[in-house]
Amino acid sequence: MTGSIRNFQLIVRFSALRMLRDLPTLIALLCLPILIIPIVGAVFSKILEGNPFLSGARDSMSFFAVGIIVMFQLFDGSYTMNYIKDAFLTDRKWRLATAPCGPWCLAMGITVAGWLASMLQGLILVLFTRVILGVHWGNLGVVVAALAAAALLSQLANLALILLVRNHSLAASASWLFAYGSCMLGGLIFPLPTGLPFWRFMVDYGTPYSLAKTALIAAEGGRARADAALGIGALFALAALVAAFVALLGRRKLA
Amino acid sequence: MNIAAMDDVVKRYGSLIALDHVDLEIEEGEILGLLGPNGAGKTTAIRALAGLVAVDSGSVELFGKPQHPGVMDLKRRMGLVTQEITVFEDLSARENLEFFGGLYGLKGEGLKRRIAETLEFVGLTEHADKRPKKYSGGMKRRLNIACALTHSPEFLIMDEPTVGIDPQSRNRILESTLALRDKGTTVLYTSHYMEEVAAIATRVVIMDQGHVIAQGTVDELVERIQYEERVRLEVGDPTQALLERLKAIPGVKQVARDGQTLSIVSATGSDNLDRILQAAQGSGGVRSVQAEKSTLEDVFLTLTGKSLRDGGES
Repeated sequence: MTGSIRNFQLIVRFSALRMLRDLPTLIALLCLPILIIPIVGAVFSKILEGNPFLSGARDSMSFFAVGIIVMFQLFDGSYTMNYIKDAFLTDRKWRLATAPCGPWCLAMGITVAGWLASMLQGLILVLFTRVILGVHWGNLGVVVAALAAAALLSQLANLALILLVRNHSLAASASWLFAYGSCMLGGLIFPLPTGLPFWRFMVDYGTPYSLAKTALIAAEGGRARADAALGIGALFALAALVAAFVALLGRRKLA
Repeated sequence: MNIAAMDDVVKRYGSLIALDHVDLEIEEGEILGLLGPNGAGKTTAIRALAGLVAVDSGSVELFGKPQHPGVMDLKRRMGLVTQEITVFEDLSARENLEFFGGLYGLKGEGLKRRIAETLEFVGLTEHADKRPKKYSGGMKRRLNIACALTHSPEFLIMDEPTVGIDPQSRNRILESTLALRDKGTTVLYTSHYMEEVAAIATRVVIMDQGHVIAQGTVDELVERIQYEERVRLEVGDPTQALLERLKAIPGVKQVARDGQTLSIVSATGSDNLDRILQAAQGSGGVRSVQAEKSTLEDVFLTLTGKSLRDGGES
């Protein structure tokens, strides 16, 4: 095994360990959705299957379970951004830069650790909503793929943001805008005029949130199977584009 | 043999010249003390030697090879103790060492052995599985040093490793630094505490405004500025007549009285101690005599016009 691969594994392992030990954040990322989903799902329980707002979901509980979990997946990238900041924008950067480990290896190691932690969080929430709230998730493989794609896009987008602006506050604001804006324009926060083709498109495919939600609702049988493949494929394609952008950016910013 | 060398190095940050044609050599097995007021260029010099910044002109060599950012082979042979505590607070001491040792290619039993040795060396064996959040400032400093030692570097840069800690921990760090030198590690040591550098450095380099303004052993540097000698004399009856007699001695520049204590400054080499004592006869008896030697602090003050501890004008 080459040194770079060993270092990458080491960084993933210890970054993941650090993330899992950050109890306040873990509690927030797990407890908030666990509180929000049943409350919002119950409050809007009168919105029945077939209502355009639900985008094909069986009921409001299913819709909000999918929506809130995807929203948190998109927000999770900003959590990883703190670790990127810690490694590249604080005094710790000098110690890490002295180690025989390229900045790329470090940045990607932290990002992958964040991605794994985010997926774990998403799967715990899926399990919770399945067991406690009785949400029907359908094909687990599609669920994992959709969560993985949304989480990967979020992690890479946040890495791109911090590399681009190199100012944590500004990058964190942009990250929030990315996640919240994506959910808002995807129809989670309030109903959008889906009678109009533009908004119908936005709600179904127009944002990262919409793509992940469409794929997950398709997985539970609320939409055509092709929508699952389309949503997941589009998310991974976006992630690949952002990864290419990060690679270009990193050449200058991480050199 | 030189472990590290800078030859005519210039480094600019915009219009600021951080290193202005700096020449510096660090010999194998020595502890080189690097002193300078704030903004002198010490940190930039350290970063250039560590391969963390590229220089604009001149050359930086480590172990006889060109040093610049990205040279992994050289990184494996050196360690950096940062001025700020840069350990991970959410990992235990053992895990911190496992992480940093692992980055340098240590693994398996070799890594475990080095972790145990390093923890023992810095006196943290009993606290190995605690997280640094629960450590005192001194313990954190020692762990900070340990993280740079796990891979047994041949060349260690210690950037103000004793800032803000108790005297006991400071002594332990100084003893550890001397022990490292005894094991063959070459050390570049910067500190705002002049007495630390005077106590452990084999050689001292003083920088100011991006230049190396003096270098040598502490004794050599002190000799360079020894243009006056000071004698403090306590007598029973320090009369005005005695002061006049003392002032009349050839080479005496200044005589000041503070109660029964007289401070006499005379030119170096005037060998006035005997004459001063003779002049003091019959002045109620000489109660004490103290000849004051110049210190590294005096050297620094003379050369830079600044006090190191405050980093400001003296």
